[in-house]
Amino acid sequence: MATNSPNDTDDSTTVPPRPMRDRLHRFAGSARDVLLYSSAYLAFIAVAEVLIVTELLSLPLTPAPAIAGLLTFAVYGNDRVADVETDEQTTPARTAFIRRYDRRLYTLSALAYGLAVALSVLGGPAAFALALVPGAIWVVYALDWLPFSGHVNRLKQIFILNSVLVAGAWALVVVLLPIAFAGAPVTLTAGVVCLTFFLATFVDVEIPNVRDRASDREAGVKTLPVVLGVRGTRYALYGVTSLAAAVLVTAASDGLLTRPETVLLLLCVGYLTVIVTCLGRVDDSGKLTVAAECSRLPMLALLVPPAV
Amino acid sequence: MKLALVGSVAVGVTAGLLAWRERPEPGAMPLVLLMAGQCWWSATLLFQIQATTAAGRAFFIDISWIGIALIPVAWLVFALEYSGYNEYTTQRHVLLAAVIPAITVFLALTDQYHQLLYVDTPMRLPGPWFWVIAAYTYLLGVLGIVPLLELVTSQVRTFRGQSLALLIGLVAPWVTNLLFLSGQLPTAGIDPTPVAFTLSGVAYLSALTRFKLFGASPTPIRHARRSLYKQMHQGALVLDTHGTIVDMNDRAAAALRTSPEEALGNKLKTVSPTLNAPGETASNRVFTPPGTRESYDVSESPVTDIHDRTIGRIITLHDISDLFRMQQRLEVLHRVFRHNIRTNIQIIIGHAGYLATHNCQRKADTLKQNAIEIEEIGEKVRKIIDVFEKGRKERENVRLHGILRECVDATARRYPEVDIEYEPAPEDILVDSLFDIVCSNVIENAAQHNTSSEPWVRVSVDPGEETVAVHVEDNGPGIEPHELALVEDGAETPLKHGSGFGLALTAWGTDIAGGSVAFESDESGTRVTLEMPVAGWG
Repeated sequence: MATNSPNDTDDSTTVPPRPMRDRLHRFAGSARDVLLYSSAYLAFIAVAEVLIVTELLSLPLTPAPAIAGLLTFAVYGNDRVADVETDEQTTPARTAFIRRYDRRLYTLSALAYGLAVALSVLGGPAAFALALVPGAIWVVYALDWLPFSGHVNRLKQIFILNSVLVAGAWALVVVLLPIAFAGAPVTLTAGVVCLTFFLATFVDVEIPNVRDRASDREAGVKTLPVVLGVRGTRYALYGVTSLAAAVLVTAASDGLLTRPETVLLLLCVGYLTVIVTCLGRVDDSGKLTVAAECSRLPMLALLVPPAV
Repeated sequence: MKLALVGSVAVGVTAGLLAWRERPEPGAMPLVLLMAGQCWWSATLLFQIQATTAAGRAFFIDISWIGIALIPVAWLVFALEYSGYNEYTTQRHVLLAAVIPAITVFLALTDQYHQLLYVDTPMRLPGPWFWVIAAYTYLLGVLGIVPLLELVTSQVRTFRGQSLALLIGLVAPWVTNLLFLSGQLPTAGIDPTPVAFTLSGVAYLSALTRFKLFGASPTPIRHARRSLYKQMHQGALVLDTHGTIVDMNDRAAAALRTSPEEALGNKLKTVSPTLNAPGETASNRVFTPPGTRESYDVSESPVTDIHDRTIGRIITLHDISDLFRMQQRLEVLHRVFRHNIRTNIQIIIGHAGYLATHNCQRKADTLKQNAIEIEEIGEKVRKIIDVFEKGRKERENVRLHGILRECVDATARRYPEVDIEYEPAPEDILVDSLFDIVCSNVIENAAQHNTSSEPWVRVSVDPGEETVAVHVEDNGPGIEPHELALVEDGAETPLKHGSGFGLALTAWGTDIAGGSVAFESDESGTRVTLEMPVAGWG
């Protein structure tokens, strides 16, 4: 007597094959990996943030968002390739992806940076100089023989300074690039927006440090989670978001920001505060990191009016 | 033009960063600087075009020289490093090459005070220094092309592709600049050279990616050839058509008992008359430097140019001293073996014939004695062959004291009538294991051939830092002078009648193991001194 194996099923109950759906699923998975592991999603965030700044400062649309996106992709792409050894313990999946595509990723980063610098030339010397800053840091990090390169490398290990530098560079490029392209003056409102972006980016940079605290402690790198612990970090970052909120309220009371702009920016700061609250309480620190980096994106949706 | 300039910056920055990753490959860093110079020139030209005032335009023209002046030096250093001429890319050479560009940048930034670079400030017409830096740029450009041209005809396809791409990268802006300087381009006084950098950048990118510019580099070729020449085991001399030594490696100098400094530039017939006079060298002959025991196999090959004309010759000296000596030894061994065997056999045949018809104990004893001698000859030859075989192989080191103790004890057991004295050697001296056979042979011979009524053999050791001397003395009848000829001549001469193998074994074994042997012999006895290199202590 023939017997059916447990896997054998009646035709009437068989789920019909869905190759298109599977293919789309696989494609979406691959696209997600590429965006996430190559840090290309940060380039889109940079584009969005420059568009927000353009709207907030009432500047004309220029190639600045594209340049910021290209610069971000180039800098983070190169950074991922350069740090592939040290990232192995904390982000093994990303490290495996970078190892597999390191040459292609470096070439794409170089191409992106080349395009960014070339486009920045159209914005005049100030935009050109801003675009050269990440490249200069790229070069200086690698030059061990320069008398000051040792100090530059050690900056990464100094408490808070690393996050301050990253947040400062990001905020300056995001705010000043569209201004330089438009040939507009640097106003107080621009300063407020820059400071807000700086504080928000500082929080973004410190959030993944919670995940990396064991390896950072081992490597002698002092970060907020290493020095203050997770709870201390939460309180410190509450302080930073509170400061950002205070800056926004003060700017609004001085008439530097409109009420809708202030409300939207405060919403973003509030969203970031919620993410800080989750630190040490939510296990998936990777998702927390991406969520924090996307904290300014809701503003884009509200600022850009839908096409009629 | 704007689009082309933007393109040239994009391609230049990308190529520069790709080259940056290839550090410290030779040529990578100069290529980065070359790209940086090109990008700077393109960017400042774009700013010139965008400038709305004459002063602004003049400012960007002046600072553009920072990039323009960098290009020729970076190009030359790149070409030299890439093609393996690193001896010309030392810090001193680079600084020297950068003097005129540095002066140019200084003059550009201070041009309003002297107008050496541009004579008419509003029109920016070329001044005297402009032509100096232009000529200098073209000179360095040509100098950089020269080593690359060698690679255009390389057998390796990749190198041909690389060098062609690099040449296109140089020639494109060069031609554009020449056309501009000669007034052939209607660009309203704006130098469009940076526009051509787009093409240069694409060419450099092709060299980097398609032709793996730093992945497959010809840099080591020149150095490898030189190293090969300097380090090869054969001596090599390069002669021109007049027989003058134009190059030689250290091995050749050592073989000719001279130094390259003394020999180079002199005729070979002066430096070494025995080796060669032009046109007289027969290929594959053996050269023995006067006063030495060395032998070299000489071969000669002509050096031709691309038109197949002979422009010189290379003489190589292959050291065959060991091989040659071994061949001579085998010939001697063969000859003596045949001679001695034939002698013994003739005696045996003669005595056997007599014994067939007579019963004679004396003849029978003689016959037996000759048969024993044949057996002994066979044993000695086997030992000599053993020495030759060990001489070819990696040998171990053994304690000298252990060797001597064993040899002395074995000889004392075999020849109890001989009084053997041994003054023990220090226990920690190590010597080549070949000396085991040599010492055994010397001590045994001293006892075996000692016909004194009160025979004795004395073995003593005289240790030193690098060598150790073993003395074996006996009161036997001494060694015949013709027997000693073998070792005293130091050469493998044909042995005379009656020569035995004992001395040959001692002399050849000691020589193969890197030592020396000396004999002092008269009617009252013999003193053999074996000088051995100390192989270690332990």
